[in-house]
Formats: sequence, C-alpha cells, structure tokens
Amino acid sequence: MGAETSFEAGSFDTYKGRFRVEEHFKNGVEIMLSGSFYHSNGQSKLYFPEFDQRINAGPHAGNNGIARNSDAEEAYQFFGSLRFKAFTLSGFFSSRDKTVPTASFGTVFNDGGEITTDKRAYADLKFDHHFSSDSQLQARIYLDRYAYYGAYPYNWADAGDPPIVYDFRDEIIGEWAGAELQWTRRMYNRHTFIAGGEYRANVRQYQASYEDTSPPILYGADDRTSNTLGLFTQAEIGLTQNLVLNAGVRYDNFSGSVDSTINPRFALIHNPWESGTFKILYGKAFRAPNVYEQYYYIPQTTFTPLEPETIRTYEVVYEQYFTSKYRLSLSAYQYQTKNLISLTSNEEGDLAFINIASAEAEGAELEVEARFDSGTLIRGSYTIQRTEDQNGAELTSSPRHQVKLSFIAPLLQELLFAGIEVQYQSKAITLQGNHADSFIRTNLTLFSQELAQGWEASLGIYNLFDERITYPGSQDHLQDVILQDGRSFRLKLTYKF
Amino acid sequence: MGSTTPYKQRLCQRILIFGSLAWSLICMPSAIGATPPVSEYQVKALFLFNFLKYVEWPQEAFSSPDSPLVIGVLGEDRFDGSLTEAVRNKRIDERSIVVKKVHSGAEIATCHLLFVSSSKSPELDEILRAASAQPILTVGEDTRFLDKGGIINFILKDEKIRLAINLPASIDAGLLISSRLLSVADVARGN
Repeated sequence: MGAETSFEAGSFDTYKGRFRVEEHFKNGVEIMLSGSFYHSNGQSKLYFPEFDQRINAGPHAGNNGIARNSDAEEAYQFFGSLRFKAFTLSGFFSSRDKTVPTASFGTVFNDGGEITTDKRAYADLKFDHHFSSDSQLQARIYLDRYAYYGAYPYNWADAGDPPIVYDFRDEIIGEWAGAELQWTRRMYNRHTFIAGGEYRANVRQYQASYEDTSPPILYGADDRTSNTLGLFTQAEIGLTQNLVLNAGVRYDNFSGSVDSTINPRFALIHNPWESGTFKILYGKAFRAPNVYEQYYYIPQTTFTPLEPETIRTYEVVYEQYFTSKYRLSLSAYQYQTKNLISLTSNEEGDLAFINIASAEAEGAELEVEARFDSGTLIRGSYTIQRTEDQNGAELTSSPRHQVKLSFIAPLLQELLFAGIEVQYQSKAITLQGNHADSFIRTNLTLFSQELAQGWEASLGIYNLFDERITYPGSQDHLQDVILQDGRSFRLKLTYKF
Repeated sequence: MGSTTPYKQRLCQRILIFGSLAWSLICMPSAIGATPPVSEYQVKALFLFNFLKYVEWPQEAFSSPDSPLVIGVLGEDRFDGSLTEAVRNKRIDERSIVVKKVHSGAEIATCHLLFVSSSKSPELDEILRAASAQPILTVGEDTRFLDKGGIINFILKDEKIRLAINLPASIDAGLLISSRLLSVADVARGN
C-alpha cells in the first residue's frame, strides 16, 4: 500500500488538495485511486481600460474599468484504475468552473456571472498482451462524455435605462463510445510493423443555446449522431546498420458530408556516427470540423459543407550527445496549413464557419542541455519563427523569437534545490494591428524532496520581477491585449506514507 | 479662489483645469505688466493642489474624517515656498492640507500625495516600490516615472507642462482619478 497527499496554498486565495492511494495485492491485482480539488478566488480586482468610462465611451463601460471578484476558478477530478494481468480498467471524472472577467462576447462588464463549466467523464478497458517478445496486441474499448455549459449575462435595457440582465446559455453535450485495436510485430530485430484501426460512434452530439428568461427563449438546438472509422499502418525498416526508414499511412472515414482523408507520413533517421542523429520528417495530418463548427449557427447549412483542415509538415533535425552530460539539438521546419476553418458572415450578417484561410510557418530551434554530477542542470532553447497568412501578412499572437532558460542547482546538498526558469517572448501582433510587448518572465522555485521523513516541500514565486506581461486578445474580446498576473506565490507540501 | 488672487495666477489655474498649460508663454513677464513671472514649480504646485480635488482616496487612507491630506516632497525642494503658498488655508471637504519634506522610506507611507523630485531619479525603483499598492498618489518628473509604476508624471513639452497618467497604477493604489483630470492629461495610459 502506498499513499501520497499534498496541499498547496498560493496568491489570490488559491488552494489545492490532492491524494493518491495504491495497493498491489498478492494475486496480481493493482488498484489506484487519486483525486484533487482546486479553488482560486483569482484577482479580486482587474482593470481593463477598454471598460473605463472615464477614457472610453462604449455601451459596456462602467465601474471605472474595474472588474471585481470575477476571476474565480474551481475544479475537481477523480481517477481510478484496476489492473489485472493484461487488463486495465480505468475511470475518470472532472469538472471545472471558470468565471470570465474580460466580458468577452459583449456581456455585461463587472457582473461576475459569465461562467464556463467543463465536465468530462470516461471509462475504458485496455488489453495489452505480448504473445512473444516480437509480437504485441493492444486493444481498448471506451465510453466517453464531455459537457460544456456557458452562462453569458447580457443587458437588454435601452441605453441609459436601469439594467435588465438575462443569461444567454450554451449547453453542449457529447457522448461517444469506441474501440481501438493495434498489432505490433518486430522482425529480424530491425524492422517493426504496426497495423490497427479505430471505430468511434458519436451517440450524442447535442448543442443548444437559449436566453434564460421565463419561459426561456430558444435560439437553436441541434441533436445528432455520427461515426468515424480510422485505419492505419506503419513500418519501421532498418535499411542499413545506421539508416532507418519510417513510413505510415492513415485513412479516416466520416459519416455525413465530410470527405474521407488519407494522410501519409515518412521519416528517414540516420546515425552517421556515435551519439549523433539526423532526421528528415514529412507528415500530413488533418482536423475534422467539429459539430460546433458544422451546426451551431443555424444558417450554416446554407453554406458549403465544411471539410477537414489539413497541415503538411517538413522538418529536419540534428541531435548530438557529447558524453552523457551534454546534448545539442538543432531543427528547422516548415508547416503549411490549408482549409483553416474560420468564422465569417454573409451579406445578411448571418454567422457561419467556412474553410477559408491558409497559413505557413517556418522556423528553427536550437536546444542545449548540460547535466553535472552535483545535480546541476542547465537547459536553454531558442526558437525563431515566421508565420504568414495567404496574403503574406504575419499572423497575430505569433511571436518571432522565444528563448527559454532553466537552471536547477542544489543549494544545500541533497536537502534543498533551487530552480530558475526564464522565458523571453518577442512582441506579437494583435488583432487591431498593434502589438503585445515583448516580455521576460522569471519563475523561481525552491524545493526539498526530503524535508523530513516522507515530506516534500516547494515554494514557487511566479513572475518574480513582476514584469508587465500582455497577450493579444481574441476576436471575442474588446481588449486588444490582456494583462497577465503579476508576481504570485505558491507553497506546496507533500506527504508520502 | 479669493478675489485677491492675482489675475495671472487665476488664469493659470483655469488653464490647469481646461487644458495643457503654456506656462512660460502665457505667464512670461511682459514689458508692460509688473506681475512677476510664474515659474515652472509654481505651476507644478498649483497642479498638485488640483490633484487633491480630482482624486478620491479610499476611507482607510485617513485615520478620521477630518484628518489632513498630506503632500510629501521627496528630494530637492524647488517649490521655493510656492507649494505651501498654493495650499495655504485651503480645504478639500473637511480636510486641511499639510505639506512636508519626506526623507526616509518609512515616511512615504504617511503621505497621500508624494511628489518625487527629479533629484531622486537614481532611487526611483526603491521609492516607487515603497509606495506601491498603498493609497499614495505618486507624482514625478522623470521620463521613466510611469514605466516604473508611478501614477502621474509631469512632462515638459514645447515649453508647456503636460500630464501623463498611469491608470492601472492608480487602480492598484485604490485611487479614483476623476474623468475631468483625465481629460486634461496628454496620455492616460490604460495598458
């Protein structure tokens, strides 16, 4: 029997509790249960100049731009698994409520009633059996459920009149069941073949939106079912002693109007010398339109049916180890996405999703890492990326340069460690054509893995230098940039017994 | 304003409220007039007094309803008595106004309005850190003053004194700046 429990407390009245117990019985049965609870009041006041009536006129401005007590979050989750020989049965449940302080989608500012709720639950049974050291069969059947509820308070009163606030509500429920099968075979110790398939039945795809008046005003409800079938195969072939070809292809078929897709991928892996590796990778992948994009907006059916988004990726990688302590990796990539699904409106102002945009990204990444016997670890990476849409314009929320540095060192031998994480991000273009400033975020963690028998402790200080960090706002926001949290603290204690 | 207030001073005060102030141009000594010139710091003193009228402090910033509003001057005092003169016998609601020189970090917390002279520029970081997240209206005259978390900055531009205001910092301090004051500011920085 093993058990572990931890408790965290942090800035903005944030608390988290977690437990895990596991038991291995003599007859081979293994049981594990875990759960966690999280609560945060969030920032008690957040200032948004876009809603400050002193400097910005607008129907939603008020309260001097201050949203009070509108940033809370609460979440809990449970997980349990039971394992016996080749079988694993597991179950999961989670729920999360988040209050939205930004008055997105034109809701009432400083109301505290814009809340989104996500719930997920699943049960699955896995079978994993090795017939021999060269042959393996994996199978899985599952039931899965996701639900989303959104409350969006709107003011129905005429300008200047006392507010009349009703919640606009979204209700989305997805339930699906499926089966997966995968067979893996190794041959001559050099080649590996994988073949498999999956079938998924979407038994419920429900979405509705209504005004929470009495009686409610229903804007739309859509309830349907669908299914998908995927088949895939992959081969890893040792062409020579130091050259491997990896090739795979996947076929997906969708019920309904979406065309089936075939997506290949290839990789050549070359080890010309000890501890050095070159890789050349190509892949094509897709994302099928979801029911929200397909059916949420009522006039959607009058538009051309949606097709999957596709992405083609080209990548070259060079990896080198120098002794076991130093590692260097270099990569360059190009991504081409097509048929991106975007929201649009027709001449009547009806909203709908269509396949419209394409985009390209090119970039390179350098990563170095050094480990020392003392326990010190230094890791650094730099990424340069350039993204553009079909008109050659740079994409929003897409910084060109990113640097990450992390450094972990023992302070008091094995007892106390310090970790510093520094992240730099260059400026990013916003939707209104301005930019979110570049920033350097520094996080400091002090931790002890053996504070006393069975006790672990860590203290984290996030955004140590209280740097002003903003991210571009999305289309649903009046805010062009959204300010992130300043310096915050979190203390975590863990006890193992 | 009393009727004894010199005309030019009254003029300056009016401009204070309605727009940026061309202090040197309007208030230059003329060949005919005998009124002495109004200096940059006389104008700044009038501004500081006006800030008291257009900024609301939270109740907890005062020990009692009639405890005074305290203006602290940190660093070299270039007001030459004009600040004390500007607030003499003036009241904001029930509160009298006190001007004092501030020397240490501990004294900062006793002020409602803290004017940081440019002579203190090298210590701006520490000063503004000591004043942060408290109901203290920090006013400065260094180009980096707002970037470092100050609330109102005097900017000299084309011989005029202009105002820049850092609204997020004012919210952190729990101060409410009236829209009338914001409307005369050159820049009211949101984000």
